[in-house]
Amino acid sequence: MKRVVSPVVSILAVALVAAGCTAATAPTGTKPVSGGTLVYATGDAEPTCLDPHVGGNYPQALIASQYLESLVSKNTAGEIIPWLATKWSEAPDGLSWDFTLKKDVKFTDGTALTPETIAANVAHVQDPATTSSTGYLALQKVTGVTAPSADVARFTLSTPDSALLDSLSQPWLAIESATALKRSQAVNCESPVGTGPFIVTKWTRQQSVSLVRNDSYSSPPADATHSGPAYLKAIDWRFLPDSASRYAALQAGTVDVIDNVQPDTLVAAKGSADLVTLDAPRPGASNRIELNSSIAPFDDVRVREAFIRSANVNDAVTTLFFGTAKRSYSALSSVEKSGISEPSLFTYDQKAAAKLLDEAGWSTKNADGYRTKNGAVLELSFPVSTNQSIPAEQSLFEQLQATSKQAGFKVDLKPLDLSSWYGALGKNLYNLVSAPYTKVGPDVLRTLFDSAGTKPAPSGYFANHSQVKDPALDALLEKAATLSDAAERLSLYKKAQKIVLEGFYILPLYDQQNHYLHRSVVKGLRAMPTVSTPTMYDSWLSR
Amino acid sequence: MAFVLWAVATVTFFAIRLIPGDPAEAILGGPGSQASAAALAQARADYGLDQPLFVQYLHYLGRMLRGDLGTSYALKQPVLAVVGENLGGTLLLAVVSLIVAAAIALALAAWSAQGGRVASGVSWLLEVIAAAVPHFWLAISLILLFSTTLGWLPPVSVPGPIGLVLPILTLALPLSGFLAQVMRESILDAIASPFVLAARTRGEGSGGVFWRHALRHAAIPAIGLAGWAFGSLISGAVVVETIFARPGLGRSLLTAVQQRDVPLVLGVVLVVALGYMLVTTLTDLADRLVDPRLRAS
Amino acid sequence: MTALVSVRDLAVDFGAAPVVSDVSFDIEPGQCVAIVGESGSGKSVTARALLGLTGGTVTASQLRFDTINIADASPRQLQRLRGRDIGFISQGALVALDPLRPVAREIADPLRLHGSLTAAERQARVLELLTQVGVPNPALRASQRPDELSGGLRQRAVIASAIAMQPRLLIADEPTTALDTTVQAGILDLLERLRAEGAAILLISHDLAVVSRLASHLLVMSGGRVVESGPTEEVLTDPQHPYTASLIAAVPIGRARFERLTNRPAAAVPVESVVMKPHSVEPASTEPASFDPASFDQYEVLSADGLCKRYGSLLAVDDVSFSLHRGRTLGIVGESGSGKTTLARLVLALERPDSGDVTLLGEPWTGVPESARRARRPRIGAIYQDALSSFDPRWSVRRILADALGGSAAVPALLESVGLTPELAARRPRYLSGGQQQRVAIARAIAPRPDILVCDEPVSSLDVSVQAQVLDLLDDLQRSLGLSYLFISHDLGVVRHMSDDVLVMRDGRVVESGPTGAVFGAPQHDYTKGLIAATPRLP
Repeated sequence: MKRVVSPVVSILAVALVAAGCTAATAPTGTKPVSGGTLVYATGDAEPTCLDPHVGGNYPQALIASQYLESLVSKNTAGEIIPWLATKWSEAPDGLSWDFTLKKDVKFTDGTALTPETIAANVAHVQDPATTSSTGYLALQKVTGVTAPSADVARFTLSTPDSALLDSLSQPWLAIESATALKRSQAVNCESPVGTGPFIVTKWTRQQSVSLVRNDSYSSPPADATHSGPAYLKAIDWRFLPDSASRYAALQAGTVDVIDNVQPDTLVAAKGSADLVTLDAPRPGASNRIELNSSIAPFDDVRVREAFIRSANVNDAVTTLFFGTAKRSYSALSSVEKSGISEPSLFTYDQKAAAKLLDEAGWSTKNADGYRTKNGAVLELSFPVSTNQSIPAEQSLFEQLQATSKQAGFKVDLKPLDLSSWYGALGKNLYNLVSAPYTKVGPDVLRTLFDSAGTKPAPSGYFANHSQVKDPALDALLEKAATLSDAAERLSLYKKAQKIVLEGFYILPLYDQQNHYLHRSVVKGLRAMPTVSTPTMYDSWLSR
Repeated sequence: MAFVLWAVATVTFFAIRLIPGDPAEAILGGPGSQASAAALAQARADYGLDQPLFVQYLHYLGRMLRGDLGTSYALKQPVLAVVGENLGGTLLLAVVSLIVAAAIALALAAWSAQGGRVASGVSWLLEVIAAAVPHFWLAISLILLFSTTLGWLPPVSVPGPIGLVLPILTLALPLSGFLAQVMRESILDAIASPFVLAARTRGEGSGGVFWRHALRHAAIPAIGLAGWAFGSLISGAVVVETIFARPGLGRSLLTAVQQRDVPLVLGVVLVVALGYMLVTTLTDLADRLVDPRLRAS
Repeated sequence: MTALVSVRDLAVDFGAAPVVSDVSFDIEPGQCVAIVGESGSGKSVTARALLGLTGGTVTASQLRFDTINIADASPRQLQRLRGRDIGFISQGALVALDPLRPVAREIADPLRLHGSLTAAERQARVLELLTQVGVPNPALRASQRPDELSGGLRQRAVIASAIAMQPRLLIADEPTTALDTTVQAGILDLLERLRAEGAAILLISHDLAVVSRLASHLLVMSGGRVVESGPTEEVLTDPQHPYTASLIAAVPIGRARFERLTNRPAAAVPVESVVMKPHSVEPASTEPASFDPASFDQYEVLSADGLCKRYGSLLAVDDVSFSLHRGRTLGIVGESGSGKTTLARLVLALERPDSGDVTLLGEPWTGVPESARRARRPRIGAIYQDALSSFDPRWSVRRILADALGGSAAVPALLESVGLTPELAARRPRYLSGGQQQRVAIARAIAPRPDILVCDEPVSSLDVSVQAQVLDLLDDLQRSLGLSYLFISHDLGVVRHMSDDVLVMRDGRVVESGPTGAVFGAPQHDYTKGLIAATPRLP
């Protein structure tokens, strides 16, 4: 079935554009005021390049969401909505897609948005010299971009790609001015030129990035609450790596919005009338522990299930996250509409665990209480990345280590810095690992569970940490990746998830936590449903 | 001096190669970058990483002699520029903290030297606590007290001197503990010495004894410690710059090590070593100024 | 005329036992009163009580300076007294002047604290004072620091700072100790002049001869009490108290060779009972086979011929020759800078002479490699002024002596032979008195059974009675063991008492030499005459 823009949405989009500056959902009581500088303090690492084409990580997505825009966006219902592209259509054979570009959109350097611009952007991402990783992988099936007419960009593909729209909604494939891209990478990294509501004026390393309003802004996504330029005059994007001082700064009023809010801070902020929480779980995988099925002892599904049954996750989540995190029983994030949830597979049952281990041959216990089989101890190596696991999560792993010990598992937790952690993973020196993966759309299942995902990149990295190599699963995922029909795709993805969950390859914990905390004077702040980055376009300060 | 610099550069160069992590990956955006084989090979060729280690070392030395400290892998900027931008912040912190620490130490030592047993005991306790407290704990405690609870001072760096107060206190308090202990000993020694007795026989009061005689003698060991103090301040600056979000060499170094950004690490270490040597020279000069007996030799 | 200073029943204690008790005296304007005693007698504390600087608890039925009652005075009153009405002269060693400040500042301090002169006026007055106390080139000296001045000049600077405000009372605490004889004479002249100009002086000293030159009234203190007092000449010619008598007897000035200075019996230490390391070297053939005192004089144990030693531009020793025979003492007297210490080092072969040679026991001593000397080293030993510094502070006395003996079995006997009790063996040298330390040094020096002992200022830092004991011990050992001494000192009285022959040195040269009686009885050289004249004498 051809995927066309629903008529309702297009009428709404026109209506919104025609409606002018009035907000459709105005905050209770007060009207948005124009002006003011919002101070945003991020706890994520400072990007090395402000152009998300280079590399492609979450810190870049956070800030690029203010000055760069993508061809399409997503709404809270999970539907792809127009942004820089007003409508799109897939060719019957699935090997090309036509995107109609919005008219009269100008970049902040004065150049126009044309199909050639799109082509230049795709070429930029696919150029090895750009060293894009996220964007590059997302465009793997794209062979080129042509311009059949003045405002249509045609993507040509090597094979049908059902995930193309999802990919194009991500900030890592945002559209930049073709003229700007011709500059050296060093210059482009400092001041990328986009169509977004704000413009990068200055980047003081280790301190802040200054953004000012784009007064000729004309291309909000279809789910924005107003049109025209942003309300805020400027944004001061500051880098504050320490979470305690970041929160202190928020309380003091030195900053207006912070991210990477820890569970205890969320609880403390609840009591404060001045602070408002914004919870926006990241799309892609849930936060889960992956069990390495390629090496003993997890090459035996009974041992995997036994481990999962012996891990008391719920108690740990409750005590360590103070109710700010909800337990997940899905392989996918809760914002992903095609996710399925199977609580019954993950019940805490020590008796069942013991029985399974006996069956699997791990029936003897040594003096320390760990199970043994043929002289080997039931030992699991669990490298933990201190960069990616917050302290509450690291404590959670310790609690799981304790409960699984009751069943006889010896879990070796190894806190490592990022580089060493990647090294351990690359060398297959792990039985358990928790690695986040952020991506829009259910195609993330293919990245994580297709057997092709076990083949390492030249850097040694691979995404399929559970090392699932199931031909039936592969077939489902690869087929879904080419299907145009949404309902068919959905049923295939659901089947795929069942295989993964029932194979006990992963132990889901909770959504990828992504909390923002802002002062109540900040109105209209929302997280974009694409990758859950905040957008300040509709925000204003009521002071 | 040149020898020390060369030694520092060499040791650091080889030491950082011992840390696991592929420099080529660091160039391409950090570990786990999913970079393609072509990109990695290109990066290796561009940065000369495919050559034998010793050859790389010689190239590195050669560039260093020309004043070129290389390009940061992660920041893609010349290391010299990065260091130059950040040097001012760290130096400001270090120098002002040293002065504040010396002032606090002097006040504490003077008060306890004159105050009898109780004052002596109290200040000894304060000194020990101040010297034992770790920087990160002190920083957070100061933020909680002065910013969150009292609201007097900003919790993170803001433009202007008021943003410097908490970072400098965090660095100065532990240092002042050490300095006060040392200064108190020499003040007490000086006060008990025969020339102070002689001064008293001329009618000098306690104040005069302190300012004209004891102080100069107390300064000598304190100046001797200044070199060590500088090193301790630089390492404390790493914590303080991170927590208070101030730009500086400490923070740059921390990030660079985490990202395996070899040229930047080497650049910062060299600059710190150079700074250390300058401080030692200045300490020698200050010693000569305070103790004229050293001028003859 | 009411006394300027009046003290009755002064007592000072530091918590435990009293350090001074029952001290009473008066000082009239223009009078010099001396308090004499040894270390620990309480004389310095008594002096400081007049300034309120004892650091202990002071009680007195009267402690008056002029109209001020010092015991009741407020700190401010005392501060005004100090430096303005009462001047304090302490030992001018490096320690009494702040080593970091130029002397001009120290001298100007009383002017600054008590006067109202401007800085320029103060500087002018400082130069005036320096001239008054006899410092040559005052403009240069004023800007120098204490370590750049000689001992005599430092002392004069201290006096300058004490008299800056023309105080009516000057307290001089050991003002001439450790100074050369002529320098000492100059300082005493200066003090005498100040007294003649009207200042009252309270002189504290252990040196009876110095005191007799200056003071009209004398108090003898021992153990914190005054044991005798009265007009100086009376006390010194006709002492009533046994302690005073023993003090006077201990002074070696004018005493004959081998005359005992103490009343301890002569320790006739028989050769056999002094256990020492046996010779490791065969005696030379010309040596007498036994220690026959009668044959001593004939055997030359040490001789020097034309010794010269230059350090840079300084000629420290210039053509010195002498001869020392067994059982005799050669005294070498001279002031600081005369080259006597350098000569001692050349004799001990610790330095190489630029020319000339030393012959030890008939064999060349200088000019041969150390390996040739090593075997004979035990035959020449040395003791020094500062015995304490010559010991390893961590070693006990037993270990020190055992190291010299080669075993600890003989340590008690060795200790007894130098007049110490064997219990002292367990102590560390710091905990011994100055006299005991020097005895241990002597014991260590004689343990390897030397023939010659070089004594470089061995008693200069000892109290007079302790000095007497050590000198007597040296005499006893000489007679029992046939030791030959090279006795170096700046103190003429000591040298004259101890030596058979004497060399008078000045600026590296020997200006006069010969038997002691001849040189001191009928000096030929003007310098020798000057030295003898400068030496204070007992009445």
